[in-house]
Amino acid sequence: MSDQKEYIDALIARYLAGEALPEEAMELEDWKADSADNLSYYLETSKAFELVYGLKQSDVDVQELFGKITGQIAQETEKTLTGSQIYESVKKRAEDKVINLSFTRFFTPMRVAATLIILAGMALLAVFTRNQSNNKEMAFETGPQAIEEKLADGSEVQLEKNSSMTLLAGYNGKERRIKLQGEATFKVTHDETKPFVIEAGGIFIEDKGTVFHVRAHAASDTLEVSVTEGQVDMYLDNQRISLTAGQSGWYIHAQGKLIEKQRALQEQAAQTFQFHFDNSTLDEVVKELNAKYPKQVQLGNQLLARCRITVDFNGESEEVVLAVIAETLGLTVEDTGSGYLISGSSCTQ
Amino acid sequence: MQTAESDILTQIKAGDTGSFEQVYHAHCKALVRYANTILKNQDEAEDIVQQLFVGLWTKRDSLEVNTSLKSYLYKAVHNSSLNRIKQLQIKEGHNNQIEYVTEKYALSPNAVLDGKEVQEAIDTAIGELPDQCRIIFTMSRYQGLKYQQIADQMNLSVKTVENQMGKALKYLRTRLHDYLPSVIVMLLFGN
Repeated sequence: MSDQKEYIDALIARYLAGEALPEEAMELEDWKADSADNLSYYLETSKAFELVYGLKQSDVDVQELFGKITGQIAQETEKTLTGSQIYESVKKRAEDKVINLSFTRFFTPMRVAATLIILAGMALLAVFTRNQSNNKEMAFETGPQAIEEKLADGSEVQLEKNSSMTLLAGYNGKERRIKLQGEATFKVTHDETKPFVIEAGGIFIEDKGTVFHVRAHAASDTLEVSVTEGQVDMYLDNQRISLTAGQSGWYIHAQGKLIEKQRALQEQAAQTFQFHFDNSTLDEVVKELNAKYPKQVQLGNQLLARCRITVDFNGESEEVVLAVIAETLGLTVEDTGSGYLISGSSCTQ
Repeated sequence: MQTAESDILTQIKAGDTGSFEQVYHAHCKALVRYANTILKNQDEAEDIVQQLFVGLWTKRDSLEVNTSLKSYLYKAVHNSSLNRIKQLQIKEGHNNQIEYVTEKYALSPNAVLDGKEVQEAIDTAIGELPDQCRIIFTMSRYQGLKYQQIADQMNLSVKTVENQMGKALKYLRTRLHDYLPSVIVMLLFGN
């Protein structure tokens, strides 16, 4: 048994010193995931290492990094396709599923002129032609497939799966208002005379000439706006924040707060909290965590709300707190980037 | 519900963004952490992982993975990180990797506690290590030497160096316990 301990100590030391081979790094990750004790042991050793070697550790923003990855992929793939290739690929897709196809001129840079109607599975689509303002509302809803739309003003929307958006009456008239539930990416044609505003998750998101992504699922979730290009404002009552390329903003329902994501995480990292749970329900635990940490926690299954736990935390990060709670109750924790999700079918007694 | 790895790879090759995202979320944090241990720089580490996943997707057609996808990712991170160090080392005008690494180990005071107190505690703790252990540890920490270099200089096997480093870290972990964020106290209900 002590041989095993010695082996792990040597492995951790190798890893932290940057000497671990790929297989060793994988082995360590597996060992850490084996139990909360292992994880704690590693974390303590890692912190001791940082302290002694004078290193500062920060958490990677998984969602933000993914945004950069997809952004770069989009850039690189755009570069490799020529105008006629894009025409061909779109025409082919249209031919597979078309009901009504109307092409004027596809893919002129800056001002798009194409119109497409595609009926695909559960998705509903409507027709747009250039520069027409609509007097009625137009609703879009997706099932398991995402859809791409070009709107009357030339803006482009990618509506992700299981989402819905409604263009409010008079779109592209005096203004452009959209209601969104779910997830979508917007590439907005900038027009100062016609403000582009999205209502989602209880707040307003205003374009200032830009490409951005909105994630707004159930009303209780944290709403996240990620800006790829340009500038976007998020506002509600007397709160307003401006986001530029590379930034993300959060609306934290439980705290009624609009905040730029990096700042939220910095604030969270700078603060240490104490928690004392004495036979508390998981529901109560999550409420208390959400009142303190900007990165909100959700239960994947309402049955878990009644699980009980007795535990104290003093100065631990949210990640460790959740790992311990999950391990204690036999559940799993998932970092969704903008929040955490605790899942499982039942709790260990 | 776990999709078998070979299936995920096939799906990614077929252009399934869901599988791509799944793989990303499953391994991102660990890969950045790993890159960071080699590069000692969070931004560089994230960049390595970013380029890895961009390449994974854009070159998925020609992707050939003989081992598991996870293995492939870790190996790629390892290689890219080592290459990056060589690049940075040249760029920053260092004569060798040792200089590059030692510069990354700055002596920064602990933000929460009084810096001097912590540094004294660290120095004392290191002083309490057994001789050989202390010498090896000092060579790693203050001279930035790699295990092989320490082994060569001291005429020991790399395995011995590894074990000594493991012991050193373990000792420092317990000795400096008070300067780390607090321990968790746990009582299971009904236990």
